Amino acid sequence: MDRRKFIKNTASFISLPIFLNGQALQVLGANGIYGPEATNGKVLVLIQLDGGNDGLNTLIPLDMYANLANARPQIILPENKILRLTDTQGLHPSMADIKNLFDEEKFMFIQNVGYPQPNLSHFRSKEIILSASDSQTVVSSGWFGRYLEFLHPEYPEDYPSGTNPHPLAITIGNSDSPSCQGNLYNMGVVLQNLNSSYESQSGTQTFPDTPYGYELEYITQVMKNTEKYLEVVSEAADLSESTSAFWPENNSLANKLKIVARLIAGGLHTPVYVVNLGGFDTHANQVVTGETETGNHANLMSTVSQAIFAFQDELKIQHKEDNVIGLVYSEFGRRIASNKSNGTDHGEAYPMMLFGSRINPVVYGNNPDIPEEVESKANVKMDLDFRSIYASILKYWFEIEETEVSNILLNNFDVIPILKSAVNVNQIQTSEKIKISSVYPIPVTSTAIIRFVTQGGQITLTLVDTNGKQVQALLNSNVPSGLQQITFSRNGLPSGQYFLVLQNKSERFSQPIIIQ
Amino acid sequence: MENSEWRLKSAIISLSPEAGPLGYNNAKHLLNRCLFGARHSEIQFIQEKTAEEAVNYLLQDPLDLLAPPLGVKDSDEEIPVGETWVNTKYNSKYRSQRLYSYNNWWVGRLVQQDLSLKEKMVLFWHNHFVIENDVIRNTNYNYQYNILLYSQCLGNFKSLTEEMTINTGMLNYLNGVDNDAGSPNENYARELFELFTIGKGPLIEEGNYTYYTEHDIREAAKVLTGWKINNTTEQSYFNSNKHDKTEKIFSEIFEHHSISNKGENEYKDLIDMIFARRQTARHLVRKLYRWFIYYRIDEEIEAGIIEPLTTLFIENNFEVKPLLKTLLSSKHFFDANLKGCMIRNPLEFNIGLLRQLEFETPDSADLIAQYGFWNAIRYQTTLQDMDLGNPPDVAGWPAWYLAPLFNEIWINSATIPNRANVISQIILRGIRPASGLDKIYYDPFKLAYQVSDPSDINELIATYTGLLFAQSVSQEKINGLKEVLNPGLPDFEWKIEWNKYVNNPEDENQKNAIKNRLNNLLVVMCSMAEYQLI
Repeated sequence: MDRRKFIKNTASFISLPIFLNGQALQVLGANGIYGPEATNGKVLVLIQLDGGNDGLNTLIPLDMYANLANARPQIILPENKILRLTDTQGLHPSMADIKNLFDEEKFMFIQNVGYPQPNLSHFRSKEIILSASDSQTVVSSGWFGRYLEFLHPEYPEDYPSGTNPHPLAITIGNSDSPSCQGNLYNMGVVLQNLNSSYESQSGTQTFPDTPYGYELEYITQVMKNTEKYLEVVSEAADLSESTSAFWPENNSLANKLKIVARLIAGGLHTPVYVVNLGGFDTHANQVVTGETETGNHANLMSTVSQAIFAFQDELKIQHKEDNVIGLVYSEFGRRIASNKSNGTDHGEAYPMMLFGSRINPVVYGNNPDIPEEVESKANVKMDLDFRSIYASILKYWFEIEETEVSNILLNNFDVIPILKSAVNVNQIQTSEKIKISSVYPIPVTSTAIIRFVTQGGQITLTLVDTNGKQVQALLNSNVPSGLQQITFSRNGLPSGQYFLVLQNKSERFSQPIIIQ
Repeated sequence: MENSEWRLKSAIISLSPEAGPLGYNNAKHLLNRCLFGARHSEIQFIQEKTAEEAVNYLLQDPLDLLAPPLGVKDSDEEIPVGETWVNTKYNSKYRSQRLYSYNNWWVGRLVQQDLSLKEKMVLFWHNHFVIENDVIRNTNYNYQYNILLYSQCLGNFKSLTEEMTINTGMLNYLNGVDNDAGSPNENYARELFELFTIGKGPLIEEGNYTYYTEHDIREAAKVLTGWKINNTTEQSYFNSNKHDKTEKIFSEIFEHHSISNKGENEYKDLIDMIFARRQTARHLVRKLYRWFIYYRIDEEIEAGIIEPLTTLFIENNFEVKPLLKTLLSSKHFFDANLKGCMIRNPLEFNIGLLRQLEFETPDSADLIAQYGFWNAIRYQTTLQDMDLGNPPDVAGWPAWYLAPLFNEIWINSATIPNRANVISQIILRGIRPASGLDKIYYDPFKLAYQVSDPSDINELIATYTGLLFAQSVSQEKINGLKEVLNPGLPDFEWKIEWNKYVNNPEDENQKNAIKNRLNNLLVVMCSMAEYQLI
């Protein structure tokens, strides 16, 4: 028999469990509770910057520039090349695309994210970040894995099924992401693994013309055909094309995000995708001497920036923009001071980044404090626990109960307003520490006085429509505690139902408002 | 003869011995074919030897006697835990307990095997002279059968055939005990020709299978009448009252050979007659070739390997050792093109994982855990379509005879996820030997410390790929594996992380982080198509 024909014939009667890097997903009977509804078609894209990104060379505290220049003279970016985001914050010159996203109100920076008792080991810190554990506690499951397990306690038995035809999580890479690890099983599948399961990405493997090559090809082929989800995944990929003009060449992160965009556009209900980009461990030669806006870190920043911009553009073209948010994170940041090799060593807190059309487009939190004299071991201190961001994603984006959020994250964490409307607009939220005390007159016709009470700090007040979309930002600044007031102008807004949303770092209050 | 479409590319057709020290790759190749997974230390032990020296070593009879299976179930009221049941008369009430003991004892022998060809050959003969546990209704017969295989596995094919013919297990399995003068049962006689000795050839006329005929089967059945099992002593014996005392005259193929008046020795005469045919030796040589080298046998191999070995086998009066020695130390055996072309069978896969990854299995201090652990491994092989002791039928497992797939049969949509599951169970999830007992977990440091410098990521990956894969893999895959171990990081970070663990071994969290990286790497490697091949 012709060997290729044989393999083809074999393939046709083999159907279809999955074999991906040790993860067996076999069939069982009970229907999962999860349909597309369970996550409302919402998608989270996790972008992992492996090695520890230098946050101070990404989002630059302009009010600290002089001290920063003093602390890291070899690598400090030229002040006049830094892209201005706000009066006191700027971006790496290679991140023009992300600045555009910020200006389009699709990007959020969250400053000084970390965790108590930081661990400077790559492996250990990554485990902490991906498992959402305390620094001293080893937790073998991943934070998103626990969420998926909460939705799908029976997994992997009987998956995929009619109600759960799609992978629960997809990692584009060589092995399962620990973030999607459940207590026993990894909840996800891997595309582009070492068996070249997803050929459009990694190319077709060639096999030597020997008995070894013959058998290797056979096994590879069967393994491929055994991947239960391959069919739906390939189908989704085939149903859509990459159409954005902004996809960069030779950008490994963009290549992965391109697959993600195609799968989302092609109709997969998978709620989470994990991609990564390595190279952030910039101990040496982070920049080119004398041209510090160039070099390794600049290339990384431009890779990230261009990839995310193209991804966002693709989602817009595919009308999926409102369904997707992305989180960009690293295992840790880097030291404030540069080292003698034109680089930076392992550090602590750094800015995490969120993107998407629904994302609250602010620089959240205060600039890191850079003293005049910086010791070589000094680090950016955390203001916000990274698990607050996970909690906010679970609560606001995936809309799960607060008690479940605490169960999944193994503790209670403050939430922050990561979405333009961080509340489900149909539910009026009340809060003791923060509230709108009066709106006058009612109904609003042209202008109104809004009075509110807070405990002070960074406060945002926004007007959102019934879809939760921000229509006007009324306030985004540090306010003293107590009663404050602000004047609202209609500015041609159409009549109808709106909501006022008042938020600080961990609380929010919303109130309906009618404009006539 | 195989379809001539298939040709080995530049195969070395030579039985002369591979010269010089084996080196790591040849040593690995030899051991993977002769053991259930070659361990790094074992490969290193024989790599300095020449092929002939190494094969001689593997062919030695172990000094230790085979310890019998032990009772491990309280519910067997006749056999205390820790004592053997093989000297106690069978009691059907405790069948399941003793079968549990027997089956897992056998699996345990493979897990604990020495540097010896014995167990691989016991399995070969089991697959050749099949009996099925499910059919044998007396576990002492299972044991007697097993001991016969073990004692003769490197012995003499003809003697083994003789002994097997009157073995209690075989008499029971193929209805020898029902074969009486006047009411013959041809079951054993048929398989003796068709499977156990000369093998079935093309049907060239009605009732004529080239090498024997239906008439020969009938005459042989008469020769074999009268063999019974004494249910008290549980031994076979010859009852001449039930023996067909007429003259048996065989077909023209056997030159009308006649057997009569020899009573309990007639079966030996029958076996002499069959072994006088060259085809009998050839049939076994081919089967051994498929067992140790590859399932495809083309004209060139037929002429250059099978025929000379057949002659050698006959000249040595069916002694197995000289045959194996020549085959396994030959240039042909070590042909680079033939390395890695064999798919690990489920025992080689599961036990290979334990052995090659240096999994610390329970010792005899806790027999319940030990047998329970073996049982867990055995259960996983059954999910991959191989139940040791229970081949699907008298022909053995199809992987060794069913064209065109042969051992590709092991790899299918059901077994692939099960193989993946075993990998994840062994490396990540732990194995619970029995309910109520603690899980036994894998410790990846034992293997890592066999790398001469485990802090060197390139050396670590090279050692692991060298151990676990039959042939070298592309740089792209090596890079992928490095990425799995040390994601997104430069090589030196692995050294820093490893040394951080080595310098602070009491830092459990760091140790755990390294462990997770190593485990992750091994899961990925063992899940690759390359790991399926030896």
